[in-house]
Amino acid sequence: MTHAEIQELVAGYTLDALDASEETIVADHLPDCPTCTAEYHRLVKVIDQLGAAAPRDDPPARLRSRLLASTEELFAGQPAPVSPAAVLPFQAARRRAAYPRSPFPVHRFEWLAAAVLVVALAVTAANLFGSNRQTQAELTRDNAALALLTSTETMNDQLAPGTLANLPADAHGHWFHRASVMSQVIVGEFLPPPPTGQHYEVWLLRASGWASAGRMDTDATGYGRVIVRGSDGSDVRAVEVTLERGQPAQPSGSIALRFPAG
Amino acid sequence: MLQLKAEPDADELWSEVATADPGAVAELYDRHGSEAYALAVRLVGPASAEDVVHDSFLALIKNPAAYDRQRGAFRSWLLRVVHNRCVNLLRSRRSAPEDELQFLPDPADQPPEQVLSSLAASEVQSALRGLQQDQREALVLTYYGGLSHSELAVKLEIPLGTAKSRVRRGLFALRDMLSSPGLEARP
Repeated sequence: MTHAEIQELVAGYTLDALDASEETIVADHLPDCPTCTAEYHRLVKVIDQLGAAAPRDDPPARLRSRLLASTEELFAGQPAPVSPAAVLPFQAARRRAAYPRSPFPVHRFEWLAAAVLVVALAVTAANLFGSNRQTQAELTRDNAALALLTSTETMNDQLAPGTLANLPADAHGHWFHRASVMSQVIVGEFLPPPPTGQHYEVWLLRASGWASAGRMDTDATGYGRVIVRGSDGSDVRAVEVTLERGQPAQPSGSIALRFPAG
Repeated sequence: MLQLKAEPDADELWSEVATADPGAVAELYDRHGSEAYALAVRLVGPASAEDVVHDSFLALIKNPAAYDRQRGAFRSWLLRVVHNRCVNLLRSRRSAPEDELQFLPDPADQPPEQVLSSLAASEVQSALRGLQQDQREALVLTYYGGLSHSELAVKLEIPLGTAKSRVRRGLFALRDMLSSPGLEARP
């Protein structure tokens, strides 16, 4: 692609209007081209004004409490974030960090970069806290899941409310998965506290039938998360979150959340 | 004379976020959360907007070094993250099989004139109205409708090259309008 052709894509790049291959070309080109870089910065100022002009709409109060709860959980579960510059020796990753369509790398090096970051975090944590192998594995697992949650290429399927009585109107969930990434995350939100002696259980339906993916414990806001390792979800036909007693072999209680809906 | 300590700016707060300070996250959300949420609601609706804003903040917290203060204010950075995540969500919805669609409204289906009338910033409204009709339509559908060049070409039944050209020319014309006297950009 010629310089003139790439320059014509810069406007679309700032608007998130390019396809993936064009986006990569522009992202890789910008650090080497002062002309296109100057154009990028001029146009981004206009984009900022378009963004700030969106019709006013106040967020619900629960969004703030949810974000702060997640932040506390994140900060409690890991050491202070590590600068990617310290762990990502990739020119392309540095370029995309400097000239974001999104500030997060979305292409070729994303998962490699995430893996390096995860390992760095785990090693840092082990050094800082003298963790045993189990703790280090937990940290690695959680950060891999968080990397999945923050990827722009991850599939995010909505879990719809099921048949469970007294579900809040905003109860819902998400099933995050991505082809060839052997982790999945199932999230429940605004779930009511389970009655005494019961708990939420996550189930995945495959060709062999239903199997438990683990127990979902919820916090005070009704948020819970289960991380599934060893599968990218491509063989999963349905997901359910049910209210259970004990440890049944397949879902038997009321359905709190499910995918697909209905 | 009593000297009041100046409030930390967003960049200073971001430095505190990088040291895992939840209070700094709360402060940043209080300053910029409403604007981010408003943009997300415009694009993906209120139910998904909560997730987008939550996940955007969390992703930024997770990778604070991705924010380069030399390249723009935190507010504009956040809005770009939110827009990008909304666009990705919209494209995921649009590519889903029809039987999986949940009758969610698509922002690209709203007439551009309605979008214009709903905007909160009069100077942006005025500047957009000053564009040629075809450029205005292309720009509004791309930014506030979350359409890619390819999707825009299909929607307007025009060649892909024409779609790209309209968007580009519209954005350049808008830049000129917003920087012209009497249409000062918002701080």
